Amino acid sequence: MKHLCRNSHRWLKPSVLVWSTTRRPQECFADKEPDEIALYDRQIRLWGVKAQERQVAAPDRSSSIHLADSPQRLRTASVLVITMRALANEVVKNLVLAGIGSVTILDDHLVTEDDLGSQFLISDQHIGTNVRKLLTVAPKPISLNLMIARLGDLTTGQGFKPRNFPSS
Amino acid sequence: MIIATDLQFETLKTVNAACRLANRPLYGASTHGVYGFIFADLIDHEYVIEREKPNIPTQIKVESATRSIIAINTKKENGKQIEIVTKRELYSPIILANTSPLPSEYLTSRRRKLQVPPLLTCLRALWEFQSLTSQLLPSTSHADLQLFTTLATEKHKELQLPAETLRSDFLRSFLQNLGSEIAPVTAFLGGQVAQDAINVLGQREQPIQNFLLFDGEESKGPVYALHPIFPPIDTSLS
Repeated sequence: MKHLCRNSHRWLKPSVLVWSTTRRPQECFADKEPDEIALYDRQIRLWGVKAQERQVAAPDRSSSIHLADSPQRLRTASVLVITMRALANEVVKNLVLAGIGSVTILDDHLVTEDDLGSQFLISDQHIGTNVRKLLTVAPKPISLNLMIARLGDLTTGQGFKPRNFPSS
Repeated sequence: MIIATDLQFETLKTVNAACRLANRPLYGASTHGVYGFIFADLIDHEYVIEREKPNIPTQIKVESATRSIIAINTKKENGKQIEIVTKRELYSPIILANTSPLPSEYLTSRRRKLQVPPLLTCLRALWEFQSLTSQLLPSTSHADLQLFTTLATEKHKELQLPAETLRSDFLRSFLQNLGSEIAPVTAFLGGQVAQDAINVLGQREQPIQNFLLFDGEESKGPVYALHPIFPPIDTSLS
């Protein structure tokens, strides 16, 4: 990965990083302290992590779109975000907080000092590295949504099994 | 779904074409300082809205050039009649939206035309500038500024907007803001894009149709449906 840190020429091959909801809700909240669970209270309610499921009303089958399916559709959706700058940081943050199935980030730029002022998913230890490399180590997205884990790097195929890629 | 941020217009066009081939919805967004926009191309999108049953019964019909009501269902909740309306919205790719006029209700009313922010003109001029000079942003050179101003005036006339809304101080402000990122603006636009994306994925609520302009100076975020005008299909001929 050393060659990726060169600033002298732009590494033109697009970098594709995939973050996905891989951990099951029960296992990531099982060992948490009560005050930590309180921190994620809203997410827990949103994703229905609690053992007892809400009573779901009988879906209205006369319409082809079923209202009750919305959260499930979100959990199985995959979104591709192109170019990671301030706007994309916000978009990724909001999508991750809502419990999206998988986020794939496509950006081949190297991190500069200017980026620190506008992006909150990176910090100063990442200057000069490729965006995808730093997102490999960044714990930030995980702190937003405990259920996600970095699946891997599509470009090098590192840690990534193609069959996991959702088709939606 | 694809969310393309801060892309050059040419790249966005290509991504749009690729998305259409793959039949995936696309959101294109960008911020330039206090200004920004969101473009949506959801190709053909069906969604559901829930509301209280109105006095005038909702009918299955075509509401506008892009929107039509497909199905209506009612259910009783808390003693009120709630109706679940399924609607369908049609979208255009950015290559067409960029050359499309404003919707007809804006063109016929002078008051509405005065409210359209010159930001739309400036964005179109910027994209034209990028394709003409293959430069990312206009530099401070006199020639560049002159070219940009000419393009802006041209686009303004093309949109049939009154000349007095394209003020020189706005042009100056727009050019000064290019290429910069301001946290509150990106926060707002990022939130809007994510909200719309989540709604589209969950097939609920009306999505952006199809161009949202954000003017941070005025704190306004109007949405315009920029679609090419197709002549009505004459079904009598067979």
